[in-house]
Amino acid sequence: MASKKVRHNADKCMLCGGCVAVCPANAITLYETVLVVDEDACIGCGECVRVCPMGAMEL
Amino acid sequence: MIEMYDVVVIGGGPGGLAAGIYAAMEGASTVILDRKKEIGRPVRCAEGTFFEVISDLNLSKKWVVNTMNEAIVYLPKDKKISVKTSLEGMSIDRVVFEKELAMKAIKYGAELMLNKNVIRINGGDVILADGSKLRAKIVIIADGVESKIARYVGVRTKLRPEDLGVCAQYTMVDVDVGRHTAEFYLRNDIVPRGYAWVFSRGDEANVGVITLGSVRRRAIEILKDFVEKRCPGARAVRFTAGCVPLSLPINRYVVKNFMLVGDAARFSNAAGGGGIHTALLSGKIAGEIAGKVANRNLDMSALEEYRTIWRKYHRRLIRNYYLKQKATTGRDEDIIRLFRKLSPGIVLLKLGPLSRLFLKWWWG
Repeated sequence: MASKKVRHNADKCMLCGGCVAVCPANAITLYETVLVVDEDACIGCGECVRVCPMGAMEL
Repeated sequence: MIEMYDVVVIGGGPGGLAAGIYAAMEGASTVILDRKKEIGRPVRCAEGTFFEVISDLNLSKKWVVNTMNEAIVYLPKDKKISVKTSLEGMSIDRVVFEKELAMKAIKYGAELMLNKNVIRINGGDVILADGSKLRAKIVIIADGVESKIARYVGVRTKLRPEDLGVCAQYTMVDVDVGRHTAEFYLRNDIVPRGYAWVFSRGDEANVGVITLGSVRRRAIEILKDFVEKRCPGARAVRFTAGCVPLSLPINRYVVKNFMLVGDAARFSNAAGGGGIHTALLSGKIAGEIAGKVANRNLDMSALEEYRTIWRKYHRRLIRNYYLKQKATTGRDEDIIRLFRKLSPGIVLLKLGPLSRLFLKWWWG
């Protein structure tokens, strides 16, 4: 299991939901004005980093 | 205390609202839940659409910002096609549009609950983040591109990055574009594996790009370069980002007492990226059937009627997926090949073969 966890930059995030759609671990949840990454569930695969239109996800 | 409903709709976008309206119309006690505090915001959409699949609702049209009857398509090798069509495209205001749908739903007796996050589903029990619980005979899942709720009932909705359309868009003033014109740029040098658009909104225009999630360049960077080339003097009054499923539609869209509609079911046109019309249509069909089944206390197997009616649209979505696969190879020859039957230069047609092909690509 990858040790790296994804980091989310809320300042860049537009809440578009793309990362939620591609996350294989169901680790991302979109709320009203905030996106939450469940660090325990994150497997560090980087799919969300790839798709984010804003570059708001980092590994 | 557990509140009981015939139909619980999760998600208050076009698909969920249409489902809620038609379920309530059938006399079912209906509630629409949305995680947001305001219907329609944030806008995550290019706000261009074509068909009115809900004309029976007699909507006001106050959300139609502009009509577009000319499409100019820029292809590789400086080819350009202009399509005039008698079918009018529309630039819409998504917020006003969704709010009118919400008002219709309420008018027909549906309840609307905002700021409600669903965290779990257990049979007919819908459990919310605030600890409350709703019980439903039928749950319509309409949570959009995220499509997380369906995973709770065992439907695999995870998208591959190459099957996710990633968009960035500015709404701009001082864009030099025809008042009733939509422009499309299908060129890999402008947008790799995607396209750029300019949709006139009268005094302003939506200028945006869509690319695949697997493309290394960020959509926002591609957009900035496009704006620099296309309309360097224009100024942005709004920035939007959004995603759309460009995958095959989900096959398990009826599971026990659950029905999936719109983007949550991956019912969007993978070739063009439009999803409003498919969301409205699937929401309408699912809502009507759910309302009928719940109201008459029919067996849940009667929900299969949704599959019977949706089948033909499903086939079209599958075809459009393969069209997208052919168009997004990143090679200009493949785009040219798709349009090869068309002569270069400017063609004016009224719903001739060209505009039919174009509409098929754009809207499915």
